[in-house]
Amino acid sequence: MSDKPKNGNGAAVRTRRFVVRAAIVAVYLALSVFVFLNGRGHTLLIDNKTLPDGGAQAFRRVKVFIDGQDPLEMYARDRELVKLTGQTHRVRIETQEGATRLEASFRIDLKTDMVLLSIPKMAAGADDFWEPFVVVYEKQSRDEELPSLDDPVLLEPTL
Amino acid sequence: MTKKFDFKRFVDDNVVVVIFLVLTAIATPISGLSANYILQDIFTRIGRNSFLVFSLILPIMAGMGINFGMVLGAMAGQLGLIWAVDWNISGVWGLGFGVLIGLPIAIGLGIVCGSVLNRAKGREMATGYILGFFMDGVYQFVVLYLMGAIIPMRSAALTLSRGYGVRNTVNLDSVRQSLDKLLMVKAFGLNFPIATYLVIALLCVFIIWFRKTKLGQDMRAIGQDQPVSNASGIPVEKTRIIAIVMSTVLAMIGQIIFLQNMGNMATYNAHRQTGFFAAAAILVGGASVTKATIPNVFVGVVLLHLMYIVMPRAGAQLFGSAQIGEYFRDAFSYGAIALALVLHAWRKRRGVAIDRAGMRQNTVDPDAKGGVV
Repeated sequence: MSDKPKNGNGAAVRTRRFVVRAAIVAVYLALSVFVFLNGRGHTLLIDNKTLPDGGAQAFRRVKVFIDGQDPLEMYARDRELVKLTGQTHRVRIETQEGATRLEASFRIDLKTDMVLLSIPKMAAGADDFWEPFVVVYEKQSRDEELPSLDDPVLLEPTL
Repeated sequence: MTKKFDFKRFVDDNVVVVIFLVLTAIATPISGLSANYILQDIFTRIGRNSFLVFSLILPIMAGMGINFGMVLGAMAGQLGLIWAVDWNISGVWGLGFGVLIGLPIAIGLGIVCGSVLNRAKGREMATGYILGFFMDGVYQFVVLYLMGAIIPMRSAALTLSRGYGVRNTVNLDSVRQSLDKLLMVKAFGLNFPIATYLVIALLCVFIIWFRKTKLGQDMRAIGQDQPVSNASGIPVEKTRIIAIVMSTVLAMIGQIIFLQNMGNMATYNAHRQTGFFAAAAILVGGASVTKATIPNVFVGVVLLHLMYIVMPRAGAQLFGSAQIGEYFRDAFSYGAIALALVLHAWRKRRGVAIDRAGMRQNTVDPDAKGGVV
């Protein structure tokens, strides 16, 4: 008697195996996308500066709350840097000076690494209170020393 | 009937552990380091290194010796982390992303490694070691030439100024100690990275569970006798490949845990010494190339790293140069591996001799260690 499954059984096993493998791949991809979307980090620069056209004045003193992080106390002409993860964020301000809007949400797209947010502009009620901020890296005048073929890198233990 | 404790036999069986205990016991007071400092460093290093050392258990269980090919997994982990940093996936998410990216690479490399080791039965350790060197070349080719040229890279801060290739050092600020700090508990003036310990504990539970599964039992059977396992219907080659794949995947995760604790990555050499340090730790812990347990890992990590902490300072105190202490610790680490391998070979030969003598006299001393040790 042969242990091999009959043709019908073999096909069923193959189909089941294919379905299980496809499900594993699907779960893996879904998990990767989920982790990517939730973990994508952005750098947020927060400005409390008067706009160049004088459209909105900087606050003398303002408390800025970004998501659930500790509040930032900012004075006129201050710029702060905050690291954020995820795409949608909420900013809230507390001030004793006049403001049209105290709270706003914004969504940073996946391709953007750094964003500049203007507190006076947000408080004035403008929708374009944040914009992508691009850092241009200057090419170094001299190339870094590359590992050679003979001794690619020093054999230094990293412990 | 209770067995009488035989001190000579105990020392004989645990000679590597005893040597390390004696060495560190002498070096610790000479180093002049405070107990608090040493304990803090030890607790940090347990979290940092244990996972990597655990990746060696399964191949030992499957009779393949110490998997020096684990550096392949370390490379996969580094590639995962490079992408996590390139895409600025921060915090624990970044580590998760690194694991997800590294997973298929580690599985692929594990299958390659397992297949090669199946063609080199009996010489797995040397083959794995050389395979590690070969794959190091492939890794360097990928990271130095393909990344940024063919494989897209986003971050200019990560790329060499010529436009392709990854910089010699990658700053892991975005994921730095994210697992350690996820659940940091302060007690007795010391910091305990509980989240990292939980991950390690989870792995311990997995290993204990895995040993009881059909696959785990198959691995143990293969570790004891391959021809008999083959005759009894166990798919020896496939099971050995699975053991290496699991070891490679664990090494990949271990390297990510290691690097997140360090906070930066030497792109071209962070993985090179991984296998050596992990092998030294497990052997110092009392394991042999045929038998390794969970306590061996912890004892080994504590003893080896205790030596790493105190030796340079002891060298500085004794000879006025910390560098001499560094030489000491390197010499003793390599010495531990050599001694463990020599002892294993010697015990194996002694075991065979005892078995033969027993068979000649038709009696076997139950206390004598015959056969495979």
